[in-house]
Amino acid sequence: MVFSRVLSVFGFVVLCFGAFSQQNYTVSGTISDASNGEDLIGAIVTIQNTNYATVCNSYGFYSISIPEGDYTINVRQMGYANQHVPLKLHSSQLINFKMNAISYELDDVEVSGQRGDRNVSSLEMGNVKINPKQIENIPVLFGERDLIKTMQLMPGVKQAGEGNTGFYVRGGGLDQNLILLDEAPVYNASHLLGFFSVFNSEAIRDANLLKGSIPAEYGGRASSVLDIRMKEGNMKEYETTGNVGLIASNLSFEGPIKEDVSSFMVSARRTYADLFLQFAPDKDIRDARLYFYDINMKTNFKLNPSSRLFISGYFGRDKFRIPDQFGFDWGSKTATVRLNHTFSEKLFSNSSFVFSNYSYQIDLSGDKDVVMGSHIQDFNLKQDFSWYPNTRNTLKFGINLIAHKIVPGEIDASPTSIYNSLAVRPRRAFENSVYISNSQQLSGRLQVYYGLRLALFSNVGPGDFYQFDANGNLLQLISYDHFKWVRTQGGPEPRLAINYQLSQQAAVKASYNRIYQFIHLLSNSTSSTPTDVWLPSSDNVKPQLSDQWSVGYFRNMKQNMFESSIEVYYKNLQNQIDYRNGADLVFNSTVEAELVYGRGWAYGAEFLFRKNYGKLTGWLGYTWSKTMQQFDQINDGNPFPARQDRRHDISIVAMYNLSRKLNFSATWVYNTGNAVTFPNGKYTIDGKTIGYYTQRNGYRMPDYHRLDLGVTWIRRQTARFESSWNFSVYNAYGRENAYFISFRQNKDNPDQTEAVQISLFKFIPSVSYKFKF
Amino acid sequence: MNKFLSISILLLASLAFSSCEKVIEIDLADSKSIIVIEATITSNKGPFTVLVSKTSPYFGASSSNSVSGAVVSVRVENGKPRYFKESSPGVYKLEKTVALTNYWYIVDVEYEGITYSAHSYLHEMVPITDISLTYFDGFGFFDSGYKVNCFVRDPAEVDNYYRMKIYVNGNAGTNEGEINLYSDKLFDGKLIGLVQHSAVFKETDSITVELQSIDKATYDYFSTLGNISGIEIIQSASPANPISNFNNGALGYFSAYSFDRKPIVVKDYVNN
Repeated sequence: MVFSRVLSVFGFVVLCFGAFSQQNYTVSGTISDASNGEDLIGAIVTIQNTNYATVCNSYGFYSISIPEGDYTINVRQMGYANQHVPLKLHSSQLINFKMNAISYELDDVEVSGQRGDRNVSSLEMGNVKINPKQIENIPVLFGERDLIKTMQLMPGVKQAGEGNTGFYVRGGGLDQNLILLDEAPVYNASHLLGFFSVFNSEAIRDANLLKGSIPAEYGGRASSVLDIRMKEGNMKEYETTGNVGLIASNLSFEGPIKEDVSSFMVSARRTYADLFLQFAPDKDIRDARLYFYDINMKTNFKLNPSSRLFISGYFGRDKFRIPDQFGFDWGSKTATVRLNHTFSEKLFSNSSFVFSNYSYQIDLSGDKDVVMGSHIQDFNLKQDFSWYPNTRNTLKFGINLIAHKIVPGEIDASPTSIYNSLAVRPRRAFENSVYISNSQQLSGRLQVYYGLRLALFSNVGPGDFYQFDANGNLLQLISYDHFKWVRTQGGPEPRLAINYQLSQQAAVKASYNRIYQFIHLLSNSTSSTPTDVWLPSSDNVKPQLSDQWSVGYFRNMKQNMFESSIEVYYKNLQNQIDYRNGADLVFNSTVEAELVYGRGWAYGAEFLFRKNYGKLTGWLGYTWSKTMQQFDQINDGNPFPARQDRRHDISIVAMYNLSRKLNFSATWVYNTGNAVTFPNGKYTIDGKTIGYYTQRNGYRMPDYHRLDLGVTWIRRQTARFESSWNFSVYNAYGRENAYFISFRQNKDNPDQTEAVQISLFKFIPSVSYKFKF
Repeated sequence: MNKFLSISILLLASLAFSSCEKVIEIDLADSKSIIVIEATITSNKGPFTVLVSKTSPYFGASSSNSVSGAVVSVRVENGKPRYFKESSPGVYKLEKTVALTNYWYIVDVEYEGITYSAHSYLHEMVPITDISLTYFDGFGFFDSGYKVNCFVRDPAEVDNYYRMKIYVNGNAGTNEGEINLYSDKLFDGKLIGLVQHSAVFKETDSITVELQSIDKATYDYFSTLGNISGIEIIQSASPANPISNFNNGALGYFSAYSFDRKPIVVKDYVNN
């Protein structure tokens, strides 16, 4: 009911502004890459010498309505040559654009003036776009390119630890990032204990991180959205790409099933770090296996000029095995079926069915005699519409239904085993939402975005639900039957943004968004681990709620060759979750009794200066930030810095094209230390020295800095075959950065205690070879 | 489970990656001195012992923190207190006393006008049914040698908590920070083989295995103590003081426990 009222208000606003227009016609269509037919997300369509403009949606569709007349239509997209097409508009028209990529060899001057002014002209703020092609030359650990590691070099995004792919966005927690792979949520995005992400760059078309100003079509995580899209497959010709690295290799194959109608893409990657184990003296280690693999697949069909079907999937797993002793494997599976349909030149629809599963399994005996495991599984139905009623308005509305099932833990033991079989009852819930939003051009200078999402979370049976007293003692257990609705929580989430363009080259923007988060990750380590447990909201666990305000100034220079921005944000987080000391998080059906609740707040300023083209490209980012938390039961109720709190972050990324064949790159990062808990005294128990702790996160890790260098040498580049070598060095000047600091008794003099710093990754060279034909 | 994660990280760190370790200087603020009590009583013969000390600055010398002149007593719930004698500074003993199982005991320590009390339940002894040794080949940083498996028949339908201590050649010798704790949460009523953690023994060693039946409070104390000591590769993000059963802010624990002991000589076991 609330929603229908909102809808009618929206309709009213849209009609009011639409009422002034004369006879309008609509130009609509898709924008794709001419070489392979892939859709281009976020291309900008403008009508020359007018204020009319629109942005392609995430399916490559655009629509713009303008009065009858003669125009020139311009299409721009980063990395592609501009297109200008004369347009005689006397009826609605369908125009599909095929854009040509700009190759690196093009002269600088030729390209200038063609790049997007999106930084200034769009409503987006707190937005980081990453295209695997653009980051290809940035040096990374072990030479394994990773879009998350590149993203961590942007202001406002912090790495969870040395070499780790976990990330904190604007003071939010590791579990507060919604990570989507072709619309499927990925519950654990890391491989090999966090050193690699599950995203194989060869299979990824682009990634978009929203740190703030999150549009109404997204919801479910309190801090950010990372929306990753897989490649669709070349519609024109077959292409094989391979990468051979020191610890991992990948191979991708894509091409048309039927030219310009359907295509496919398959990409697979595997690590072979465990080959090094062959050199170990110990037989158990020699026979041990530790590796991961992943497979991405996608196919799409143009069913008719107005409909297109996409099917994509991801499957990846980590495996650790000591023969006859122990086995441990974990990983994610996702699948997406998506139908895009253009009902009319003004109404675009996307329907998706999405499946996602994360599970781990531990084989305690090595022969499957005792197996323990846990999983989380989602089925997700989405219906989204984009409606372009007139030039000044773009409406988006839709509905999203998610069925969650979480199996917190089960043990399957054979009768002869020393273990008893055990299962903690699954927890089930529905997460349902509807949203509507409008981007509106109020005047030539002023654009606004307003949207509302209604997010509701319902626990459903079958399942056990608990009631506890204030001290966490169990009062009552209630078992619910199938489809029994237990409790619904949630509420409206307003989303607002405004852009006031000061000039062609400068704009001021502001935004506000509210988001509920209904499922929570329980973890007490500094990075995510495979056995982390997700916990749904319930009678005992309130949903997390975040409010974020941000303001920014955006300025481009030299025809958009330079982009700069300053953004400040304030984020307020309610119902944050921590747990009592000694909490038992595994195989515990009453884990809710172990939790404590508090609040968090974060604020900061982010500076970004970026050079988009020329021989030298790259960026310079600086973040000043503060992140605090407060729980009544922790730190005597006093506010304390969150573990991701740190004051200063600097990152510099530079890429230099010396010639067509040679590209140099360097990154340098510096940050002051994270908050950490150290002892303030010591005492003896059981003959051992123990630290005495008085303050949560009262200390700081030492400053961190690191330089990485890389060279890419293009060995051959012809129309039929391309090959290149990449050499890189991680931590080039061998800085011993603290991975962690532990405290212990001196071995020679147990009466003395000492602090010990452990560092990883000092001067790690790597080499990889890439080919494409 | 965390142990296996630690192993895999160790494996990576030691084989695939480079890692290094160095002693560094850190400025730590001093805090107010807090009383620390370590009290144990058993159902077996032998003196009851209570150690009373105070916390000291982290990088100072450990010795000379003992607390003299405290009034230490123990009583069975609703019973009369019996007082301890200070045998050396900070060490309080009560000789010739035996505690009965299946009772709550209370220890009171009075010092500078404040009484610190803790409760502990003395559980029935669970006997060791058998001991075996297995040879461990070593793994990454872990040494090779013999490890002890201790078998018990777990009493069904009750929560049991165990602590295993190993005395080598007469000394309570286990590795740095190793605390062997077990709960029957996943094994209730089964014949359980309790495997010790990282310590290993040589062929020349003669070992005495002590299996303590402890209460939940003692188990919670030592498991939270384990979180802040010992090998920690996956670092705890927020180390905190172990959960004490003493009130009024004292650190430490009071454990009433029963135990069974069995000796084993490594050489003899191997030769059989």
